[in-house]
Amino acid sequence: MHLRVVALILIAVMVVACGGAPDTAGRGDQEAEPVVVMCIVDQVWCQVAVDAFSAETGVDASFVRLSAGEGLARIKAEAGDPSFDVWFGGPSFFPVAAAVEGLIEPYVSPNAAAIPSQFKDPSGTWTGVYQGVVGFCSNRQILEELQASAPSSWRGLLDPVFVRNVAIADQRTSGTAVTAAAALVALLGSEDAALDYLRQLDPNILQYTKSGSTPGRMAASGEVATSVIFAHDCISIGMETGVDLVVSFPVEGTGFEIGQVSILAGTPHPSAARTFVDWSLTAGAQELAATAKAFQIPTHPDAAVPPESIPLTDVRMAPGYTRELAERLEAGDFVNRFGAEIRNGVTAPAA
Amino acid sequence: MPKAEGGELNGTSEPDRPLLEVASVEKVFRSRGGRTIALDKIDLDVEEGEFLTILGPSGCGKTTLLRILAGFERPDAGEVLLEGRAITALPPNKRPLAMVFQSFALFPHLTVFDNVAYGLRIAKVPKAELRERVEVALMIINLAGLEDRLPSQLSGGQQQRVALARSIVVRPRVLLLDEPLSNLDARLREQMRAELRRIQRQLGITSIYVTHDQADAMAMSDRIVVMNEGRIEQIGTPTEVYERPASLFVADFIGQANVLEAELTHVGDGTVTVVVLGQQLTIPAAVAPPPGRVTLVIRPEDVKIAPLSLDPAEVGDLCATGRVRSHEYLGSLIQCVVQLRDGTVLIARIPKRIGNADAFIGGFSPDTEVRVAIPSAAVRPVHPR
Amino acid sequence: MMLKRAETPGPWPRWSVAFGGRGARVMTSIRGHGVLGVGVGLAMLLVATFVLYPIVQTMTYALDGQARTVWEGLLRSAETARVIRNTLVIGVATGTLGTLLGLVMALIQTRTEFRFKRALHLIALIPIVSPPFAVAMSIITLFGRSGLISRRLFGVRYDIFGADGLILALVITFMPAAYLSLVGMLQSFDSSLEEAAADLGASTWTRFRTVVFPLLGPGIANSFLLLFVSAIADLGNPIILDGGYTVLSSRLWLAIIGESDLAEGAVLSLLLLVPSLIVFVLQYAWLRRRSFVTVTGRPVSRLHPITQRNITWPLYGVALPTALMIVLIYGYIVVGAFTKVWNINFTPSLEHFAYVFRGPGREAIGDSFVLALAAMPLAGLAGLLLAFAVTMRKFPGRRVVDFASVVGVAIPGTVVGIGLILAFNQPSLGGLVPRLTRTAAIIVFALTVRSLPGVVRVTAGALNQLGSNLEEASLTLGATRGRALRTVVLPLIRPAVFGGLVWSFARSMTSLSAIIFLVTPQWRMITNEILNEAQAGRYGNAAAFSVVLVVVMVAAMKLLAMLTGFRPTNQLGTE
Repeated sequence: MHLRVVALILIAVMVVACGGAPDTAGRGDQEAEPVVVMCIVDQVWCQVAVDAFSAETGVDASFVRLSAGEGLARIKAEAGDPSFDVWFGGPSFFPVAAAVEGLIEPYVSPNAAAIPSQFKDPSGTWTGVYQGVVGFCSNRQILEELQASAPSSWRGLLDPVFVRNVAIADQRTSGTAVTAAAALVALLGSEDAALDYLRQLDPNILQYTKSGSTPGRMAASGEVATSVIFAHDCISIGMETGVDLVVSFPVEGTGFEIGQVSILAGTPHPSAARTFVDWSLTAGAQELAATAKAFQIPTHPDAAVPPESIPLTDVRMAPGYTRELAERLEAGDFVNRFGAEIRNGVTAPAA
Repeated sequence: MPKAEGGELNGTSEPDRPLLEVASVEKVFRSRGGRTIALDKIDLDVEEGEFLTILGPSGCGKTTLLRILAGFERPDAGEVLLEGRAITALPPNKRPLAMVFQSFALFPHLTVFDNVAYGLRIAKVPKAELRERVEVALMIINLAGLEDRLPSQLSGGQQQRVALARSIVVRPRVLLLDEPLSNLDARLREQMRAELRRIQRQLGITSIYVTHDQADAMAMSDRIVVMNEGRIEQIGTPTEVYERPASLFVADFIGQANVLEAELTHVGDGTVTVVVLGQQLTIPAAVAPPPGRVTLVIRPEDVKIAPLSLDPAEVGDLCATGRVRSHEYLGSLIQCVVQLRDGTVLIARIPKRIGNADAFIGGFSPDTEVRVAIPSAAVRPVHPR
Repeated sequence: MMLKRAETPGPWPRWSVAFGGRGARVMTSIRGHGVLGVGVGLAMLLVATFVLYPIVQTMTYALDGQARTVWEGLLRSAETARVIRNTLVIGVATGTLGTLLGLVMALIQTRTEFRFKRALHLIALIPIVSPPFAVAMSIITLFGRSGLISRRLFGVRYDIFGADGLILALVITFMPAAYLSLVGMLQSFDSSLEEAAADLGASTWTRFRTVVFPLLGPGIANSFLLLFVSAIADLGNPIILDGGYTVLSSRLWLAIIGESDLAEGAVLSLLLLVPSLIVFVLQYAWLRRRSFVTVTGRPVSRLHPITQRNITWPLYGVALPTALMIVLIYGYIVVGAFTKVWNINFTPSLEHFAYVFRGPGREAIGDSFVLALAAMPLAGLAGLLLAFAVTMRKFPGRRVVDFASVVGVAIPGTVVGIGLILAFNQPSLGGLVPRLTRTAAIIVFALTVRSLPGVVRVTAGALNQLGSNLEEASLTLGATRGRALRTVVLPLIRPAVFGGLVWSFARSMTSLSAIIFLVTPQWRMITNEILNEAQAGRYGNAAAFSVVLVVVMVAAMKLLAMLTGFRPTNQLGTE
């Protein structure tokens, strides 16, 4: 018995010792610097990206998947001593908000030159890797049972037939919801008017979810009839589950996001971080999304657009909707007001 | 000194000195409710080779005393001396004493052989000698051939013997026994009593035996120490303790006692004169009690009774008449409760007579008038406690 | 008197290790204890550093100036009152229902002649090896809007999120703890009491009403309290199921993960800690005064099986649906793991398992294994030493050590995690301890803290049963204290100790709330991966993970049990 106990202790000690090592080994060793990615996009895409990056560049990479709001909160808390190097995915207005607090390290990648100017920040705070547009994602079967048709307008979403049959993300945690809200602000003219709309929409909402794409899953599983999510997510989910999902867009106009990549200030592995950013801006890297069944539109003009994607030209953007508008919403008080007035201070969702 | 070589069994100590001395040992237990005095200035000498029993009711302190001797408890005051050396501060494993526990405490995961060999292994006794000593010990206790059994495969009596063997094989100077027979049934108990005594005599190990059973004490001991509430009531041979109890407690605890109050009128040479049951009586007394009221003790077997209807066959120094209140037929004797004219109640024991048992018993049926006769030598004064 | 091999400890959970136990254990003073003393000292240091210090830090953070704004915010918002009320409702409901169901199952097991007792027993134990979230996801797919039962069978689109779903999940998860505890009590119950009552003319029902239940009272109350504390500390189920019916643990989780707000986390931890500690202290004090159940050490309850239909049938009527529910819920998880899209597409498929064994899945399985294994000897050794010290030796401060050894069980897992972060987010204790967050070490310590009390309890229970005679016999034959421990005591408590280790391993593998704040990209835990999949709505993957986790755990436990010869009977495993 003694020997066993001693052996176990030895193993344990060894393990913990080895386990502790990588955390401190990173600095200074340029050859095998691992890079940690804070990844907002779908987990599968994260995995594919990280694997491909490691294979192509030889740099070790790992990721943690968070929702955009979580990510922002996390780096704010870690202020200056981040456990991540790169912020990959999620709408561009998030790094803008973070940059205000000095949490982003600007970097203009040589590969950014190929990216059109509307998809990047000139000072290098962030660079765009994909685009997405907000739409409605409905479950055809449930619609039939309700004898309703897929919503075709924001007004239509307020219809009593959809009472407790709509799912949408919570703005406090999800970039998708903020994008949608920004579109509403643009359409209705003011933050108050947008909040008013959301107040009217509230009885129709069954659940506010943490993650932007979860509403689509709820539609797919039949929990709700329709949901407000990015169109590309709807397509992925439909493919994954095999459920007949219908994508539709509000005729008044909708909002879009530019998925970003950026480097966190104070990153422990600046060189590897840059390598990752460079890589992610290549057409090849962007095309990987489709293999992970993510159907955002790549920003690189040479990257092939997956046939399943919905081209942005087919969708009407809300007049007056700009990136900056979304950035202002995120950085300002709107999200808090949403939490207080629409959600009555109810805690943001955990799932 | 090493445990397993406690010295020659016949002792190398000075002939005049007792082997073990307990000097003014005190022990107090503090608890939520207050203080309990477990041992109140105990003085005791144990002679080499003797079988000493510490007898008393539960809670009298006998086990505490034994544990202090073994080293599991430390006295609050006083010393324990072995062969003149103080061992009070020695931990139990360094004392050349071995203990046999009430629960036997056999190591359940070791075989009989390994159990018995345990102490020898610790003392690093060489293999051949170890084997021999264990075999011898097992033979002494009549369990040869069971070396490879586990304790769970043995009967209660066998376990007890293994526990004994385990302790004697290390040749302790003193063997301590903590009520080792109390877990055995009556028949086995008697057998083991005899066995134990035989082995002790054969090996000559000084033994201190703790029990609440007076039959054990009387049957086995060279001397008995009667304890009560942390104090020693009397130390003496079995006959001394039985025939000349020093106090009421001893008289009552060992055997049965009839207790009478009397008035001391005269002190003689080795005798005293008392007035009891309305009669004057001179009785032997080694130590004269203080004048005034004195407590007398008479053993039931010394109370002779006979039905009045018979011829007055019994004659005694102390006489009375009374009536049988109840009787118990115990096979070898009849025990009667007799009430005298003046209300005093006595217990008498009449040995059985050969002949018609039923008629004999009938002679002592309730309400029979009987004559009571008690020899004066059977009346003893005791300390009234 | 026959001495049996030391078995698992007494029937009900022991909060105080020193004061339970049947064997007469005589305390000896702690003199001259070289190596043992040092070992105990180190173990206490471990406990002080990783259990007590984090609690102190949490309280400090929660009560200092900076936290004032948090308190003000919380006290002003109606949401806080709502959250607290929800938490209490959940706790009380789970405690009551869980104890009741446990009692029914226990009665059937010990007092009736039900033909399928063994099967019922095994079913009742299934939830013990279940990973967190599994039950929650299954309940959604069974009873939710598109639930198999609710929608497909009854055509009702039922909103299972909220109190009802949560309570169902918690009751199913924790009922086995109550069941095992009550079975133990009923088995040790001295049936001569019942015989006396029967002799005096009491019918079966009256006997139960006037003799059995009153004497079981403390045990039942104990079960209730245990379940209450477990329910409010649980994290996995509320995350998935509360759907707006927020409870303290999910609120806490959000504060840290969602908002990275340590101050708020500290304050909420305090709120969560207080009821648990109160309950713990109540039980500690209560049990010290000895419960009423007479323990004879012989299972004698088989003498009086209840045969009256009017009693047994209602019992079966409650137990069988419960068992069915358990089988349904856990069976459906397996279905979900092996079909394409759980509850939507029933085509058999292994794709979820493929996912599990690639990428983060494989890493997580490996990491969890390694970390759980690393925590095992730490918890084992420390637990052993502490149990020795507390049951066998008298020394000043023994009660404090006793309390500290098992208080870990009263601290909700989330609070353990937060406490560790607050305590070790920077070099502490005068630079003696480096920054531990973001290392594997802190995860190992969290797991150790969680499983230590279990090991201590099991070992102390075995030591108490052993009594002090064997050790004394050893001493009187010349053995030193150390030798006595080594050659006599340890071999006899070995089965119990290894049982404790096995249990600690299982606990570590299914641990969620304690480690959820401590995982890093380099060190992943399976439970965290399951959470990610569940949150993303990929229930199929989550189900597959759960199945893999259970298989790995059961296999490891069986292997360890085989190596050490221990069979777990009364262990209470809850996440």
